[in-house]
Amino acid sequence: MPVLGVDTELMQYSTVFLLLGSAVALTFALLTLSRLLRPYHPTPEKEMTYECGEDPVGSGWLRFNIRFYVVALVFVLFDVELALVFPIATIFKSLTAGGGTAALVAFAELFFFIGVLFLGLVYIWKKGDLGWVRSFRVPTEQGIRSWEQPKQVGLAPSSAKRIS
Amino acid sequence: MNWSELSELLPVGVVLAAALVVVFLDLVIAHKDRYALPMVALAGCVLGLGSLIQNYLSLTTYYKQSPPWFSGAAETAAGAFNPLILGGHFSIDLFGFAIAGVALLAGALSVLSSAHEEDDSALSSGEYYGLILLAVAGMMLLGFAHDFLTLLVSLEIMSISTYILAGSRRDLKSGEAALKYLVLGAFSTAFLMMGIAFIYGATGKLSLSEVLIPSEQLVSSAFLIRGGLALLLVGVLFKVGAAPFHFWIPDVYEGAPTGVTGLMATGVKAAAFAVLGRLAFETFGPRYAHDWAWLFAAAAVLTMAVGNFLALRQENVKRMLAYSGIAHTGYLLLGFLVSPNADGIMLADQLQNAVFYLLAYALMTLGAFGVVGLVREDGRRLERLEDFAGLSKEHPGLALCMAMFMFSLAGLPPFAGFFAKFLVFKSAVDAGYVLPAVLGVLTSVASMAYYLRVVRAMYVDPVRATKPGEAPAGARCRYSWTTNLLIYGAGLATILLGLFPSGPTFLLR
Repeated sequence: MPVLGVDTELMQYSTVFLLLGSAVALTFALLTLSRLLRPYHPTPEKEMTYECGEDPVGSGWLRFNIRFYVVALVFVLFDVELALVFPIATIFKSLTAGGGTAALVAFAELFFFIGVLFLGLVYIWKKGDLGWVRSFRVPTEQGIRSWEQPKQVGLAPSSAKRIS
Repeated sequence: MNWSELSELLPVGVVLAAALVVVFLDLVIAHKDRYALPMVALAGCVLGLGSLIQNYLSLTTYYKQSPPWFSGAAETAAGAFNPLILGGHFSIDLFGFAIAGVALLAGALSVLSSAHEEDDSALSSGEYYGLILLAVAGMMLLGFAHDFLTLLVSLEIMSISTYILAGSRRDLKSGEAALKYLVLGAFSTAFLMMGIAFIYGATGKLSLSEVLIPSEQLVSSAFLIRGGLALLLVGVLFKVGAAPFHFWIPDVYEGAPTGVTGLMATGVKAAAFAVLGRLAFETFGPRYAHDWAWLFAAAAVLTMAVGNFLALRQENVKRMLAYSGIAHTGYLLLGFLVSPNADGIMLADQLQNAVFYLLAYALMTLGAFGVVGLVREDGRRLERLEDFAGLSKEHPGLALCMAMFMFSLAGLPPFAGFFAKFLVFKSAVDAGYVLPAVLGVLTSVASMAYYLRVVRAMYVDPVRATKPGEAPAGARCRYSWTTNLLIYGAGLATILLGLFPSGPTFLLR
C-alpha cells in the first residue's frame, strides 16, 4: 500500500536514511563548532596524518614498536568478547518468555564469560603489559615482586665496581 | 536441554579452574615459592582424574552397568543410559572416559617432567602450567565431543595451547618448532573446517553419528559429501601425524621443550585419535567400511614404513622418538580398521584395544622423554645418542627404566608395548585386514634396530671424556625428584600393564 506515493516496504528504510542524514549533519555541525572554538596554531607535526604515533611518510617496512602488538592483542580479545556477547543480547528477550530460567542461565553464563575475560585483564595489568613503557620485574629476597627501572645501558654494576 | 547434564563435564571444569588458579597464583606468590606451581597443576590433574572416576562410578552404580563404549552401541530402551548429553554435543561413553583419562595422565606426567626446569624462567611460570592444563581440558573435551562444532572448538583449545607451549623455551629452536607447528596446524585445521563446512552444507547435520545416515540428500549431493569427507580425513590424519602428513612431527618434537614434547606425543595424539575413532566407528561404521577402510589401511602401512625406516637413521634421541611416534601412529591406525560385517561387540572390543595401546604408548613415551629431559652436562641439554654412553654406570636406575621403555616401544614381552601391539594387530586380523597387520609385524621387527641402539649406547658403548684431559665419564643426569617419580612410576606401570594386560579392562567392568 503506497504512502505518499512510496511503497511501504521502501518506507521502512526511511529510519536508516534518517539516521545516516543526522549522523552526517551532526559530524559537520560538531566539526564546524570546534573550528569556531579552538585555537589555531599549526606546526608541521600537527599537520601530519595521524597514524598511531608512527611516521606516515616513507616506506611501510619500518620497525614498529612491539608494544603495538600487545595492545592490539588485548584489543582483539575484548573485540571478540563483544562479538560473542551481542548474539546473546539479541535473543535475550525471547529467553525471558519461558519462566525466566533460561534467561537466568544465559545471564549467569554471560557474566561468567565476562568474568574470566576480566581476570585476563587483571592478569595483563599485573604483568605490566598495559603500560607503554614496561619495566623489568625483578624478584627480590623479601618475596615481593618489586617493579624496578631497567638498568642503564653501558653502566653495568660490575664495571662500575672495577673503576672504583 | 537439561542443564544438570553439565555435571557430566565437571572433570573438564576442574581442570579449567586449576588452570586459572595456577596462572593467578603466579602473580601473587613469591619468586622463591615457584616450585608450588607445578604442584598445583599436578593437583588439578589428579582432582580431574578423581572427578572423572567419580562420574564413571556414579553412572555405573545408577544404571547397574558401565556406559557403552560409544554412543552407537547404547541401548535404546526406555530408562537405559543415554550417553548423548547437551543436545548431542557430547557423548559420555567409555571411549570418552578413556581418552580423558589418558589426557589427564599425559598432563600430570608432563607437569612432573617439566617441574625440574627451575633454571628456565619461561618453563617455571604459571603460564606454562596453565597452558598445559588448558591443553588437557581441550583433549578431554575432544574425547567426549560428538558434534562437529564441539569437536572443532575442543581441537582448537588443545592446539592453540600446544602451539604456545612448543615455543615456551624462547630460543631459536623452540621458536622454529612453534612457528612450524602453528602454520602447519592452522593449515590442517583449515582442511578440517572446510570438510565440515562441505558436509554441513550437503546434509545440514553436525552430529558425528548422524551425518552419514542414508537419505535422499546423501545420494543427491554425494559428490559434495565425498569431497568434504576427504578434506576432513586429511585434517584428522594430519593431527594424528600419519604419513603422508607427518613432516611437521620431527622438527616440532625436537625443538619443543621435552616436557611439552611428551605431552604432544601422547596427550595430543590420543585426543586426535579420539576424533579418528569417532569418525571410524560412529560416522563411517561398518556400513561404509568398504569405502574408507582401505584408505586407513594404506595410510597405516605407509606410516609404519616411513616412521620405522626414517627412525633408523636418527642420531638425536628426541628426533628418533618423534619418528618412533609416527611409526606408532601407523600401528594405532591398524586398530581403527573396521570390518564391513562387524557388530557392536566387535567394535567395542576394537576400541578397547586401541585405548589400551594409547595408554601403554603414553606411559612408555612419557617415561622415555622424561629420561631424555634429564641427561645434561654443565646445564646443557644433551639429546644425541652418543651422549647417552655410560648412563648405565652413572645412573643405573634411570638406564634400566630407559631400556625398559625402549624394549616396550619395540614390542618385546613382558612389557606393555607387547600386549598393545598384539591387541591392535589382532583386531586388524579379526576385521579381515591380514596384509596390513603382517606388514605391521615386519616393520615392528625393523624398529627393534633403532630402539636397541639406545640400549647399546647406555650399556655397551665406551664412554668418552667430555673435555680433553679429563677422565672419561658416563652421561650425567640432572637430579629431579619429580621427574624420577615420573620415570620410575611409568617404568613400574609399563611392567604391570605388560604382566596384567586385563587390569584396565577389569577396572572398567
